[in-house]
Amino acid sequence: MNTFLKLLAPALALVILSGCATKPAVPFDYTNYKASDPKSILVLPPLNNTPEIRATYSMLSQVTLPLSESGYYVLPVSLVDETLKENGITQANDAHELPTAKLREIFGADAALYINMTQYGTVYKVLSSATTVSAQARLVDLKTDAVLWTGSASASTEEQQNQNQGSLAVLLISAIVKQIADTVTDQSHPMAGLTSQRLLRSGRSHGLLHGPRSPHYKQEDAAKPR
Amino acid sequence: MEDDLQKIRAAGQATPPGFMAHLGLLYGKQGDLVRFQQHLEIEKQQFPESETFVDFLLRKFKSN
Repeated sequence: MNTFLKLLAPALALVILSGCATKPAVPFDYTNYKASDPKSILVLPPLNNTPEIRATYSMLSQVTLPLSESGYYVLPVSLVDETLKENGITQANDAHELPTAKLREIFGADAALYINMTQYGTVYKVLSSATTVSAQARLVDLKTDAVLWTGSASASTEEQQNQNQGSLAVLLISAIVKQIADTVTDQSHPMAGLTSQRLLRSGRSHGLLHGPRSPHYKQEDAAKPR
Repeated sequence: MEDDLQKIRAAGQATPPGFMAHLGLLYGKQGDLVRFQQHLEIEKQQFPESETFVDFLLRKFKSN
């Protein structure tokens, strides 16, 4: 019995410790992306899967900056949105279902960015209150319909909050106060900005590649370890 | 936005992409179609990537 335990102990330790090892992140397959080499990106109005009606435009108004900074030409979002509306496409999901050939014919962009908002707004969680904005995005080549890149990101006010210790009553009250304050001052919009930065900034791992207007264009392989 | 444009010009910088197009759209919404056209043309010159879209808009606008 004793010898059995002695044999078992290292084996057990191995099993337990191997659970701690984190898998190295699988490098994103950029083959299609590099082959397509998009120069201009059409951003369609984000699909809104949240109860907040403002989510779509809050996000749409803030995605141009990180994309432009990454070196892509973004078709003016206000004009694109207006054009879609003039042509009877007032809902984001209608816009997402348009055939890519049609989008290419009208907008002349190399790729289209489909964004899906999954979380937006201030949520009350009994002992705390957080404003969270999460989104997923998919970059699709408009010539070949190939998916070039997918990603998701999230930003929350909870990241900046300190864990304050206090009595239950204090926690409850501060959560309620924060819920009201964050809803009134609309913390969601800056959080959407942060989310779009995290989602679309180039140069991070699993992120977008640098675009043709960026000084780092096509230098990803040279400066690999980031 | 015209104020911003003045500031950018004063600093000698190029206008950011989409700036002229958005300004044009605002003029267009006010009914100032001449300026709408002018600003879109500037956008097209500055960023040739927008050519297809701007041409589409101007064609549509002329046919109206």
